[in-house]
Order: sequence, then C-alpha cells, then structure tokens
Amino acid sequence: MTNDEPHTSREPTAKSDGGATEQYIPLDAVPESAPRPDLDWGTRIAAAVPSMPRLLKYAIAIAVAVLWIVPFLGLFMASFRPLGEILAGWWHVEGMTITFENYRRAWSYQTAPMGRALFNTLVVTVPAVLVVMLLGAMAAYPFARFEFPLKTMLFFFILLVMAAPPELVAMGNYNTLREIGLFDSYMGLILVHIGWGLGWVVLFLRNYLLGIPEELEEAARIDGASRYQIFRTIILPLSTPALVSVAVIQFTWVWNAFFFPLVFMRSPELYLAPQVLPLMTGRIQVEWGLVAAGSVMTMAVPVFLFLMLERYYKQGMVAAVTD
Amino acid sequence: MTQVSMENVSKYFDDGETVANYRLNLEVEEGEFLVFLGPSGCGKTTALRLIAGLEEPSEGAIYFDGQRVDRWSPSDRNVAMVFQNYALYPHMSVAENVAYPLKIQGVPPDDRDQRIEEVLRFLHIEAQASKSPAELSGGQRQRVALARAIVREPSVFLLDEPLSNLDAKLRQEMRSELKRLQDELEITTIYVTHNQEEAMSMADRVVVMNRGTIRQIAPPEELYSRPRTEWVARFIGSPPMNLLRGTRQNGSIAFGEAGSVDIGETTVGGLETVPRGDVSLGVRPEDISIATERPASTTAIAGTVDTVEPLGEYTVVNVAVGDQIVNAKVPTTSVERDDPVYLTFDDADAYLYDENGELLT
Amino acid sequence: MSLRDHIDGLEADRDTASGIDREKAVAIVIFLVPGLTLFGIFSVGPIVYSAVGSFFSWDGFSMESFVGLDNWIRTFADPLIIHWDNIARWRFPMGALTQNLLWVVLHVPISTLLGLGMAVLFADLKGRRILRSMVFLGFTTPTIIIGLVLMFIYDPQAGIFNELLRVIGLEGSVRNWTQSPQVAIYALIAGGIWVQTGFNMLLYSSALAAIDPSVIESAKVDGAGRWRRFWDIVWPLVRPVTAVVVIMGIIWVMRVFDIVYAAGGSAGGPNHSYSVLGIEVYRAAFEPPIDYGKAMVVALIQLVIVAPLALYIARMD
Repeated sequence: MTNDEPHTSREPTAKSDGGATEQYIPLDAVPESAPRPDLDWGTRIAAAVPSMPRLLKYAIAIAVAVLWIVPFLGLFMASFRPLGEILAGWWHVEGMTITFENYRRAWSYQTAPMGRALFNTLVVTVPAVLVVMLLGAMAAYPFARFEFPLKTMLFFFILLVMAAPPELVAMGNYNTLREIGLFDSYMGLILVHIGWGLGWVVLFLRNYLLGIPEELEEAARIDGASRYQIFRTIILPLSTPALVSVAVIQFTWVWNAFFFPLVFMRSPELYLAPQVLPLMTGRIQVEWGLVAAGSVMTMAVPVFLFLMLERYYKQGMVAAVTD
Repeated sequence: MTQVSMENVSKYFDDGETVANYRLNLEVEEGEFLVFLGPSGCGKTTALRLIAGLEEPSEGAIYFDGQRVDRWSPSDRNVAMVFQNYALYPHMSVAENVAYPLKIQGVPPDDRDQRIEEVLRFLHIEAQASKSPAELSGGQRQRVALARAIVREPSVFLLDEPLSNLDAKLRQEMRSELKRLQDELEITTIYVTHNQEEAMSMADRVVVMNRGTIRQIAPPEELYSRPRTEWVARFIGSPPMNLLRGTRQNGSIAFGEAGSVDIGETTVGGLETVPRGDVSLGVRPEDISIATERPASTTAIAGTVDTVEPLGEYTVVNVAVGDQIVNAKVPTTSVERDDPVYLTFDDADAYLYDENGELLT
Repeated sequence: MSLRDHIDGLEADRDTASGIDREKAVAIVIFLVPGLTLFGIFSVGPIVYSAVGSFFSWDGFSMESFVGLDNWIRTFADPLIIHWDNIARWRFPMGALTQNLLWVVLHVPISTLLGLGMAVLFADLKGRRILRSMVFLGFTTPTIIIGLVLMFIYDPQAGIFNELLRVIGLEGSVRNWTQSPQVAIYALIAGGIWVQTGFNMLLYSSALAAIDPSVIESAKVDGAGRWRRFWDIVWPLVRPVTAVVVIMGIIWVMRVFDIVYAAGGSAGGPNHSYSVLGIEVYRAAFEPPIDYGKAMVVALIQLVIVAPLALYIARMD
C-alpha cells in the first residue's frame, strides 16, 4: 500500500454479523469501566457464579479448612459451657448455656492460678525475645560481613544446636542453673531460652544482612561513621522487617514452650501457663471446661500475634527453614 | 498459514473496573507480520493474550480462518508464543525445552529429535543443546524461546516484547534475524512492542494502540506519511512531529505573534475543506528548513533559536515560536542561541488536525 | 624525599593499617562476645556436656567415672527404648525409639502430601489467605494445647471423633483413643499430621508463588493440559522444597514431646505404649530414679538421627 492510494482504503468495513463495527473509535468513546448491559437478575447471577468444577473446588477447600479448625471450635465452645453440656457434646447447640464460670475458675485455679501463670509467661517471654533480638543482630553482623577465625566452626555449632532436641541441653542446663543459683527462677529460664534461640536468630539475621548492599555501609564509613554507629543507624533500621519476623516467631516459641518450664520451673507460683494446663485435667473426670478456658487464654496471645503480624510470621518461617 | 480476525473485542478486568481493550477490530492476513505498537499500559499485550487464548474476551469474537476460537484453550489454537521474559522451563535443558511442545503433541521421539536438531541449527544454538537456561546469555535464551515456538510449526506466531531484555546491539541483530525468520517461515506473526523503530523496521502493517483502542492500522510508510491523529503523529518519528496550535482564518492559519501561514495544498488536499476554528498544524522536524532572512514564501513562521543540538549525522535546532518549541532537523546550521529565524516548509509536508486531533481531509 | 622520610612513611602506613585491623578485630569481638557467651553456656556447652557425660557413670546429678560404652549398650538393650519381643509380635509398647520412628514413617509422608495438596488447592482461590490461616492455626498454638485438644477430640463421651463414629454407625469402635495402648499412637500421629500440614502447606505455597506465571502460561500455549502442567512444570519446580519439608518434618517428629506428655504424662501412655525418645529423656533425667547417663544417650540418639539431615539442608543453599 502506498501513499498514492486513496486514504479511504482503511475506512470502516461492515462485518458479517450485522453489529456495528468501526475500525477506529474516538478516544472519548472509551468508557472508564465496563459498560453494564441491562441484564435481568437471573442472567447476572448466572454470570457471577463460577463454573461447576470451580465451585466444587471452593467447596472442597472450605470443607478442608473448616475441618482443620473444628477441634479449636470445640475447644472454644467448651470453654463457655458447663461440664454437663460438654459431656453431652459441644456440637449440640440448642438450649446452649453460656457461662464464664470456666474462665473464672481457671483464672483462680488453686494449684497455680492462670492469672499468675500468664503473668509469669509474659515475664519470661518479653526479655527472652528482646535480648535474643539485640544479641542476635549484633552477632549476625560480623557473620555477614567479616572473616574471622573459627567462623566455620561457629556455623557448625549453630546448625548443630538448631537440629538438637531441647532435651539434649536440659541436663547440662539443670546442673548449671543449680550451681549459679538460678534454678527455679525467672532469670534462669530466660537465660536458657536466650541461649537456645540465639542459634537460629543469628543464622536468620545473617542471611538477611547478606542481602543489604555493602555500599550503604561504605558510604557511611566515608561519611565518618564508626562501626557501632553504622550498626545502630544503618544495619538495625534496615533489618526491621527481619527483626519483626524474629520477634513474632521467637515470641510464639518461648510463649508456647512447655519442656523448658517443666524442667526449670518447680515452684507452683512460678509455673508458666502451658505448664499449668495439663495439671487441670485432674484425676477422675477431666474438667473439660476448665482445661478449655485455660487453653483459650494461653493460646489467645500467640494466635492474636500471628493474625496481626501474619506476613512477618510466614515470611520469617519460610526464610528460616529454606534459606 | 492462518488468517486471524478480531471483531469488536473488548476485555475488562477487575469486574469491569478496568478497561484493557475496547472494541478492537482487526484483520491479520495470512503470513503477515503485524506489529502492535503503543506506550506501556495501552492494552497491546492483553490483545496478544486474547489471541493466544490466555485471556477470554469479555465481548466480541476472535476468528482463526473464519472459525470462532475465543472460547478455545490455547492448546487448541496451535499458536506459539514468545514471552517477554522468555519463560523457559528452568528445570529442563535447552533441547528439552524445545522438545516439550512436540512431546505434548505426541510426536514420535525420532522425528522429534530430528526437528529439534534442525531448529537448533537454524537458530545457531546447537552447541547449547544440553545446557540449562540459567547457563545461557540473554541472546541465547531469546533464541531458545524462538526455537521452542517455531519447532511445532504453529499457525500463528505471537511475540510479546521479545527484544526488550536485550542490549542495544543484540536487539539490532535479533531484529533482522526475526524478520528473516518470518520471511522464510511465512507464519502469520503478531508482535508486540513499545519501540517504534522495531515496529517500523519489521512490520508489514503496524497497529498503533492507545488506551485500549486501535488508533491506526497502516503499513509503516503510511503511518509515517499519513498519521491519522495528532496522537499517532506525535508517537511516530524521532524527534516527534511538531504540532503548532493556531486558528484558521480565510485560507491561512494564524499563530498569534509568530505570524501566519497560507496553506495551499497540504498532504491531504486543499485547505478549502478545513472548517474555521482551532486547528493544529503538524510538520515533521525533517521537513522544516531554517532561514535567517524572511523568505519570499508566505509559509514562514518566525521564532528564536532556543538550543542547537549537533548530533553529527544531522543537527536538531529547537526554535521557540511563541510559547511553543519547534524542532527542526537540518543537515548543518550556523544559527546560535537567540538568533531570530524563520521556519519554512513545503505545503505538501504539512498536516492539519482538528480540535479532536483527527487528521483533516 | 630522603630515605629516612621514606622509611618513616612506610612505618606510618603500617601503623594505620594495623590500626584499622585492630579496630576491626575489637569491633568483631564486641559484636560477637555477648551473644556467643550465652549461646556457648546454655546451648553448645550442655550438648558437649551430654556427649561427654554419656560415657561416664552418674550418681544422681554428678558425674562419677568413665565407663566407656556402658550407658550406650545399656540403653539400646533397654526394652523401654527398643522392645524386640513386642516388635516381633507388633504389639505396643515396642520401645520409644521404635515408636518415634513409627511417627516419622507415618507422619512425615502424610503431612507432606497433605501440605502439597492444600497448597495447590488453595493457590488460586479467592480468600486463600483466610483458608491458609485456618489450616496454619494449629502450628501457632502451644503444642501442649494440641495434646489436650486431641484428648478432648478422642474422649469417649465429649469427643467429636467418637460422635462421628457413632453417626456413621461404628459404635463398636467408640473408645478412649488416647488411652488404648494398641491404637493410641495412631490417634496421636493423626494429631501431629493435623498440626504439621499447615506448616508444610505454608512452605509449598511460597514455593508455588515463586513460580514465574509466564512459565505456566507458556506450557498452556505449548498445549499442556492441567495434569501435564502439574507434573511437567509445577512439581519439578517445587520439588526442591520437598527436601526441606521432609527434613523439617523429621526434626519436628524426633522432638515431639508435648503432645505425648499431654495425653500420657511422663510415662508416655499406659505401660509406655506411645512413649517417644523425648519422654524417655525427661523421665530418666528428672524423675526418680535419676539416670543421667541414659538420659544423655537417648537425647544424643535424637540428635544423631537428625543432625545429618539438618546439615544437608544447610549444604543445599
């Protein structure tokens, strides 16, 4: 086609299906959003409903997810109902009695009141998390940036500890804490948790720091910052997402831990919440309402934290194990 | 060889909140090399994906050789596609990548091996056959993607910005190679790009798109010589066409203080047909001459030199005309900043666009 | 410039160079020491202590004399750890080690498959974040509560599992599952799977999300149907994660303690019928009669099984 041809050769051509077709549409004829034809509701609903196989997929997915939380649903329901109704089956909802009696009794449970136990758990968890974050970040920095003697060996120890069961350190720590007089104390348990958590935190933060461009630090050095200033003003702020991940994951682990408190906390007034729960099952008839109320109170904290900081929790989890 | 056509095809996303394509009408001839050209976000990639079958049109119909295909899955359409990032299967070797479409079609292994060998040799990557995609350079990956696409002898060949991840030199090379490939294979080819040089150099016809619609379909020369709208005029050519806003008065166009021009015959005919009112006068930089003395011709616009950019091959002079800047592309010049100059051009090189930006005929 | 000046200059250079080195070394020490001290005292130290202690005889909590492999031989011969007679007759208790390995054999493959299945099922659904969080909920819950919840589910009266059996007409099977020696371990393993599936799903989901969508589309254009796309493209690309999933599963199972303790106390169920290694360590170390030597050996067995796998993950990087 050349210029000499009449320009009408590219004019709109009528199409077979009778609908108006124009080759070029004026720009102002383009709608901002899809034109909505006036359809009756039937057609509209039919268009909005996904296809059969897709519908089936949704049904299966929702069924699976619901099945997965049924046990927690039962626990939750039981925590608000009298024992009689629980024994008859929490899934019977007609004529349901809602009571806070279970929570009241759990809160002031005679062996170890949940109120006190939750407080103890918090007292142990918060410092164990904060100190691990600080010391972990500090130790991770040289691991990410510098070469130093014994680095490989330290790496090996970190991996070893990450693989080790907590039972393996219990005997040694039991003797250590007895010797330094910290057995059966907040401080003793906090120290054990810090030592246990440092391994994965250092490795996790080190991998994160490797992703921060070194040029940033070099620029800061040229600007005259000391290594400590660089750590405080460049490294720590840039690691915030990783530190948040560490905080949520470490918090849930320490809060949820059962074995360490079981071994190191022996006085009932120092019991941690997870430690108290199995005591509530009693001897003859399990007090399900009491156990459920105590469990709901204990799990509320990590579950709430998970739901609030889900993204950091999941990213951290994935990064921690797949790095 | 297949002929593809789109009839009133629209595509909406986000429950109709976004209009990606609006009423596309298009016919691709058998064996044609058609290029979709437009700025990013203009809907050209969506249009390509509609043809591939990766998206279903919200309205309208798509035909392959007269058969309606818009509800068909990609596998039923026998199309091949090269993705912008090549989309090579990272866990397969080069040969396995190329073999994959054949394996799915159930081509017997012996036949398969022979075809793979041929196509790898054709694209000069036979030495890479057993490497993994991660070991290849950008250009080699590009070739593997091409090999995977052509090995199955598709009826339509679709390419989505295939050269945009290559460096300038390689892009030039691949451009001519692609053109050669298409000439030899004679497969109907639809190619998406935002690079006008690519479009102009390869296409049989170019489809210029903006805001989800087709602004013009034309062969490259026509696109250059007869841009249908102000927008297309500005989009094609480098530097782009100058467009001067003025008012049409009694056979001439007035540009305020810069003077006025009498226009006899523009590229599209006499001025008699032009209605009174606001118009834009378009002249390509390469069609403008610069004079320091007022010329005898009446089509002269007065201005002041703003900047001079000597580019070796030619020089671009930016001239301030009123509050607008006009680019002129001249072989050499002696003018300097702040020199008063007169811009002249042939009537035949001038374009007039109405208030809606449509070419006046 | 005189020679003297030149030499002075060189020395000055050397001084500043070693100054930087010294400053750097001091910084490294300051950064490392606080963390590594606590790590050494409370993690590495106790592991070394246990490794050494496993070759000594113990009087309560204090180390006595070197006894070579005595503790190890004694432990492996202990029917609480491996009960050969019962294994031959496939009757519980078969010993904590056997039972722990049975956990691995059942729990790991099933939870891996379920995790993959759910990740794929949820991958392109609306509301997948909520669905995933529902499945993942168990993993954020204290495991001791998981154990208690399992007891609640399997309770003969209040348990929904038994109710389900009654509804489908299997009244005969209704029982207190966690207290029935021959089946309790399977009931608990099911609970472990319930929890771990969420974690596995999370790992597979992130692996699926990392696949370049155009690779899948490319396979579509190449003509691959749903199944072929899964087996040829998706599965090979998420397969590397499977190693991580399996190994993390093994580590989790080899450490399992809370669930078993909740259901069966420190005995690990009636007649130790579903005890695991962790339970044996606890009882040997902290319940009379104290047997530190055995506790250390059993804990080391746990580590020895898992350590090569953990090193393998680290090497994969």
